[in-house]
Amino acid sequence: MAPTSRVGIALLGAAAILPLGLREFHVHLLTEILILGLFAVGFNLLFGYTGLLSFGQAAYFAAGAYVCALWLKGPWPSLPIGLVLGALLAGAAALVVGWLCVRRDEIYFAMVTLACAQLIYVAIWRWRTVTGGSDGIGGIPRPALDLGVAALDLSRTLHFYYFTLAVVTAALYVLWRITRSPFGLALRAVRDNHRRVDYLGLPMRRYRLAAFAVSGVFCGLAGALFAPYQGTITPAVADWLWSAEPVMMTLLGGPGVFLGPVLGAAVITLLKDFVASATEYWPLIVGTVVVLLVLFLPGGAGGAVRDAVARRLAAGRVETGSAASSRAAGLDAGRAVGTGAAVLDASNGVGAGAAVLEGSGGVGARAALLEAGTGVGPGAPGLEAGSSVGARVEGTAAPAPPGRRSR
Amino acid sequence: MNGLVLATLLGHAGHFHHAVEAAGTLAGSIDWQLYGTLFLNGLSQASHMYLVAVGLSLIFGVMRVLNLAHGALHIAAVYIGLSIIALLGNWWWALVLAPLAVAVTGALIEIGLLRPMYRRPPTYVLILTFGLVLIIHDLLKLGWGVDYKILPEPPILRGVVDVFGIVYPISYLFSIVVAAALGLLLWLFLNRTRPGRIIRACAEDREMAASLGINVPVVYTAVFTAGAFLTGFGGVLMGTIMATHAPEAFETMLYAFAVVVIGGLGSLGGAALGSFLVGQLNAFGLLVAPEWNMAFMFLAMALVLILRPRGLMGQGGAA
Repeated sequence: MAPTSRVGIALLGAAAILPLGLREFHVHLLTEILILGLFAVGFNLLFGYTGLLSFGQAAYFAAGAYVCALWLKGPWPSLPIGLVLGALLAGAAALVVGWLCVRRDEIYFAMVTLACAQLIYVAIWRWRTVTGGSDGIGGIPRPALDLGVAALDLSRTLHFYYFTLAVVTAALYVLWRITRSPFGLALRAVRDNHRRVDYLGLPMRRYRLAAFAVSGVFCGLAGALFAPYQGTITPAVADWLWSAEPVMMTLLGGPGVFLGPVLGAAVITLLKDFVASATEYWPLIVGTVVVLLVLFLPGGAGGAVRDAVARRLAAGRVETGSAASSRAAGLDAGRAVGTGAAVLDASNGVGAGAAVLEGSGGVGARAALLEAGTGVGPGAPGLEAGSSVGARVEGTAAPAPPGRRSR
Repeated sequence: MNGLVLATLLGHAGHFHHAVEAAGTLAGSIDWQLYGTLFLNGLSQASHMYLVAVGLSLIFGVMRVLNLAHGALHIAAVYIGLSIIALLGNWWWALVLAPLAVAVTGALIEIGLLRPMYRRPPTYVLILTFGLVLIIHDLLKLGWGVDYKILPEPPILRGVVDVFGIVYPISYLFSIVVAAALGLLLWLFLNRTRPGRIIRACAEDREMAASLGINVPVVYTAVFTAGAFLTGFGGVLMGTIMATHAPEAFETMLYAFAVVVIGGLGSLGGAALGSFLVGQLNAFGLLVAPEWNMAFMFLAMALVLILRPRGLMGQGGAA
């Protein structure tokens, strides 16, 4: 855990200093990387942490963007309020759509999220009086921000960059805390073995729904930042191609690493800037990269780096626990069901951990306890501690309520 | 103008152009002529959707792979057909050769890209086929541009006939009849022949089939190839009736997916029923709220997912 936070602080420092030596255009590009990075990390809360592939996150990005744009064009333009409204309404939309989507998983989930996103896309097109239809909304202002001590002139690229950096850093920190919380660990348990979670009496579907809503909030926030960043917003941000962006960034950066998607966002944004000026066949390149990544490097670049570091640290040490080694090998960062099952079973004594985290992580107070295994393999620092979530039913465990569907 | 906006929005330009025209010209005449025309429109839309959806459903039922590139292969057949007509000057050659070309492409995709992925999580396979959509879509753009294209119909399919008092284009009726015949043949093949039984065995239980000596990878390749052929065949039929362009690749797949979800993913009858229902919904939806056509279809899909998650004709099994 510690190395990851150190990496985070170092990156933040770099992000704070970097623009000072750059030209305005590159600062602009850096702002886009931050926004899209947040979008991708928000997506990855579902994909990497909960094991759900959403093909429709653009819908929430667009919801946030349109709400914020409309607010900024309204009578009381204030960016912070626009951001909060955008994020919350996007989250609300995600809650409604999620209610439908979490009924199924894997392929169905992906397709239903996609279909719902298409509906929202159509709604944006048709609701011309509000959204401007295909023309979108232009001339979105960036009102100055009075911080009490000093005023930020957000219309200036550098000021807007630092504002974005602050917002994105705060959002990423919250997301990071979420992934470390009992709730986040429960999400990983859902990812690794959702049936088991169901049998333990945990409200599996509600966890999924909560993850979907939270992801929607952060994708919405990214969209809300994007609207003033661009100054114009068109239905393109609700398009399925836009939904593909975070998928691709996450795959490239590595779904198993918290900041992996940000790395992916950086690479994609820079590459796009470079390639798009040369050719209009950008999707062809993206498609090829995606196919190659899925075939040969499913853990992404971030995963490869992390695994290399983990291997070096673990060299000379005897690896205990198949879970740790298969993780370290970077296999199936998304859903290692077999491994997950082994790890989830605390009764086989792999790593009965010390810390006991209450399952009352907000959503449902259940008697089942989730333990964070600290005993075994994940001792290799740099590996995510949560990769060994052990679950144990306490003596007093309540049986799963009748009527709960356990597919 | 409105029609154009609607068409570009909904992707299925041809469907709606035609139906809007039909509804418009007939609005003043006798009601049942209008309804009859809409019904036939619904059927002809259903016939195209069926040929895409049945392959999608078959591939999913047997291989547990949802091929997002299925719509792209459908559109590819239109363009390939266009080039074949330009070369050989005969529409019938296009009807045979374009689906074959698409089928070969499908076989290559299955052997080269999907086979190494069988042991991997389904979501990764889905992402892989998504990458394929992007690639095929751009290759089509690269090869044939982004303009709407239509295949010139052969002389025999030109003109109209009178169907119980409804004047209707022959080419539309042809595609309805051909799709129905193909559906029937497919059903007979899967249920009445030995290879058909082998395919169903693989769908039922891959390991068991393998341990009985069935070469499962070969069956998978065959099924994927057959699915690609059917979608290509549907592509040529559809491309003859209405103009298409590459960006429709993805929407076509979405429509087909909605169809199979409504009917039941993995079920042949479900694909037929789903196509019929969605076709009619599209055709008659024009009377109620022409601009929200697509919304109707997805609402129907949502309703089915809530009330009957396995689809109208789904029988368990599907994950």
